[in-house]
Amino acid sequence: MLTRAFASDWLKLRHTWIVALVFFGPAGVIGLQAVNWGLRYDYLTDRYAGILWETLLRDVHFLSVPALLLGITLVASMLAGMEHQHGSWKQTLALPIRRRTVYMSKWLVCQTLMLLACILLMSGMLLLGYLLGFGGNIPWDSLLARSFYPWLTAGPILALQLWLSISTANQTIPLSIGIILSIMSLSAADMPDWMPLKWPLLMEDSFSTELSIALGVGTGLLVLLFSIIHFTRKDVS
Amino acid sequence: MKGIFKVLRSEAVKLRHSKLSSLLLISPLLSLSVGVMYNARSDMPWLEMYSMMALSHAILFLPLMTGIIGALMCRYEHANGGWKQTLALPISRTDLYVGKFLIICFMTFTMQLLFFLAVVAAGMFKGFASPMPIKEIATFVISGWIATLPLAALQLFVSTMWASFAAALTITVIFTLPNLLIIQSGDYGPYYPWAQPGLAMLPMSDSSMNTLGLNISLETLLFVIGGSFLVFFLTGLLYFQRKDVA
Repeated sequence: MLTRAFASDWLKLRHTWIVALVFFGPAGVIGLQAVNWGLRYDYLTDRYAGILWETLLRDVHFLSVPALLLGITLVASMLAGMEHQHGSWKQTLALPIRRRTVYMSKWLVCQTLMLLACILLMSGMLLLGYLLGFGGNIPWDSLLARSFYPWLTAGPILALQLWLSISTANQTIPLSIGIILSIMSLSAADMPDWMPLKWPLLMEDSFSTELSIALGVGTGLLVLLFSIIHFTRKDVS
Repeated sequence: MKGIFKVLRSEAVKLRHSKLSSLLLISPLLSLSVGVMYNARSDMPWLEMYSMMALSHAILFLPLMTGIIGALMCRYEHANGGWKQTLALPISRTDLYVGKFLIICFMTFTMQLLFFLAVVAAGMFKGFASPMPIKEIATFVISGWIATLPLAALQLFVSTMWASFAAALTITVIFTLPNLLIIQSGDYGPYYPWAQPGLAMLPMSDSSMNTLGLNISLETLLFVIGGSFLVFFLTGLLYFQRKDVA
């Protein structure tokens, strides 16, 4: 049942800007760093000689975390907005399908889109490093970590944004909260370790990476569970 | 002209239940906490504290909040056939569009005013010995407001075009995120419209750049802010006058 709900939600993405956003997000982040490195090529390659790849990955990561959080906010709101706008919650929930399946499928679509964005981001980093002539000495561990760990550790924020977007028709609130969280993530390095906003940064002096991921995925699933319980009991107008 | 006043009144009624007023408070309150927690070290504590507060407020919050306010302006019209109702009223589309734009300007101005009050409150809490440089700080706040006008114009254009609140807001988000890099660049920053609120609100070392009592250079004010405002506003107005309402 979940796969069919997923397929139907996936179908609804056609003729929307959501897929374009998943493409533009990573492209924008890579493009900005391409401009940054392209314009200051001599200075940067001179200053960071020997650790070029690592520096490039770090620079991309600095932008990709707020971009990912903003992307989560916008995509979750658009996914829910499609239903709110045309009053189709009533229709969907009148179908012989469990409410938790409906909700899970929205969550899966959102996660899949973010995963796609992260795959695009990784390809973009590889392409950019190649074009800048950094050679074949690619730090794969770091590349994979910086591409996918932010996605895994952002689980609680994705679940929260999806819940906020689905539970109110007025999208002002979820969008404002998502934007505030994204801006706060820029100064998350100074926050205490237990703050979920800090986990995607993969700080060295914070939790170990494994613990960050476990916490991210775990808290994310917990928030998802609570939001499903809320959604199954919610009155739909 | 009379039409615009009527539009302003009806828009004000529509906004009454939109929770917009609490949105305007967010950034000033966060800035207030930044200012209260910051310990100034230099002999110009007011400006030093103001700079820290402006950093958190102006680079991202101000453009993004302008976007949210702009995106909010057409929420009622997009839902449940509101455009048909509104446009069937005996008012010109130009008046309606200008009225909506004026409301955004008023809201962003209110937010700037609240930010100014936050600076005053944080400074009073700190009990600085030196007097507050009211004129400088007021200049920064007003310059920042003027720099948001093109952003508001583009957001209103996109909001009238796209029914989805989030999709419309995406435009502002996509263009604001590069601020993180561009604002550091002395060569390219002055030419990027979305970086202007941040640049206008941060104290510059070279005060000879000021024109008309604003913290913006004449070239930037005329060509970047003025030019992008005219392009965005006129495109939006022309589009709205010809928009087919469904």
